Amino acid sequence: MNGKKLIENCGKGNAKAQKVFYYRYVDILYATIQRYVKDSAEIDDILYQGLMKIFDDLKNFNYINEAALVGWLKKIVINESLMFLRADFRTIYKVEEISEIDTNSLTSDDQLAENDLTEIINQLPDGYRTVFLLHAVDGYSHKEIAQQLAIAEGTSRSQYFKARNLLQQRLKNDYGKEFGT
Amino acid sequence: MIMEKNLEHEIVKAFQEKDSRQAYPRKDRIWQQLETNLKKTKGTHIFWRIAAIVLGFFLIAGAFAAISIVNHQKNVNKLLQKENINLLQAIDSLQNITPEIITETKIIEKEVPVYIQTEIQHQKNMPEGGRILDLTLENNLLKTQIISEREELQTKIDSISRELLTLKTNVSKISEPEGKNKKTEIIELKSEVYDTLYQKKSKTENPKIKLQLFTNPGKKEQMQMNSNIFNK
Repeated sequence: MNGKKLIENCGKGNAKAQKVFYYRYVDILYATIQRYVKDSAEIDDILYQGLMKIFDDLKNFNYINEAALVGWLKKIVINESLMFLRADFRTIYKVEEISEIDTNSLTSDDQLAENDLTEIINQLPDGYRTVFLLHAVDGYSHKEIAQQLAIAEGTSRSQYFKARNLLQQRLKNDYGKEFGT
Repeated sequence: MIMEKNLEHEIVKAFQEKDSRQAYPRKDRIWQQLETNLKKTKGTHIFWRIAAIVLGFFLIAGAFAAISIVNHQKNVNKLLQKENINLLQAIDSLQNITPEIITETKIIEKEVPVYIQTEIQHQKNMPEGGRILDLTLENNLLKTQIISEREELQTKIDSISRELLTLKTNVSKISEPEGKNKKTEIIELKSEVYDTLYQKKSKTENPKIKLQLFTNPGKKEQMQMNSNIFNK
């Protein structure tokens, strides 16, 4: 079943189509949520709420291509995750100094694997990590981030650059790697 | 291996690779929950759809009813306006007619009560009700007195009429040419009767009236007496 037909059937409330849709996209959605939320129970809740919203809005979705669909799905679950996190953001942004990143778990042969890079990012405080991921990985602008997190645009920018500088410093110190801007 | 490359680019690549390897471990459990919830929502969607259809039907019916009522009312208003105009015209025409003045004379008789002032002082002081009662009692007494007097008079009239009858019969007998003895006897009886009756009567009714006997040389004495009594 191609994507357009699947979306149409899901929009009509076809149970089989909904099941196919769920099993096709649930892993991508799970991975996206996992970037922002660490607790598994919270991930389940966000995923469930996000999927309910997706199935409810699918009848209004105009299918163009697979990338657009995935982008739309990711946006919904990211919004759900941010809604979940929003209550804690005030406390998160009170943190002035970034704690030391534990680099012991990283590979020791002076080589940095993809997993290690994601691990370093995951060790960032929640506020910095969220802003960094939203801008660097999911392509949100600082304006969008400010709107989503209910913070000033300047705060988003400063948080992002602080996180970026910290990452560069750690990678240079621990692995002797320098990344361009 | 990551060489000197753009940090953001490397991070995006790293996460893409990581995402592709990710598998959600509780997907079956979440699907079951999701399926039941979707069925429920589907049921509610159907219910609301039917409800919306019914509501829409009622709304349309209501709108049609309202339009028809408004039209009906407009027609009724037009009719009423026409009637109103007709009535106004009728009123105008009636107002323009000159009125005929008919004079009627009515004679009303009024009873004017005349109050007679009595001399008795205590009667003046008495209340009106008491006075009326006294007057009615007095009136009743007078009435009974009048009735009794009338009865008395009636009995007298009757007796007189009877006497008159007997007298007539006697006169007729006298006038008959049969036997002289009989004639004299009757006249004697008659004179006795008259004597007793009128003498008594005169005494009771009017004591001033006196029996007077006038002598007439041409006729018999007894007959003259009778005629005088009747003349009185």
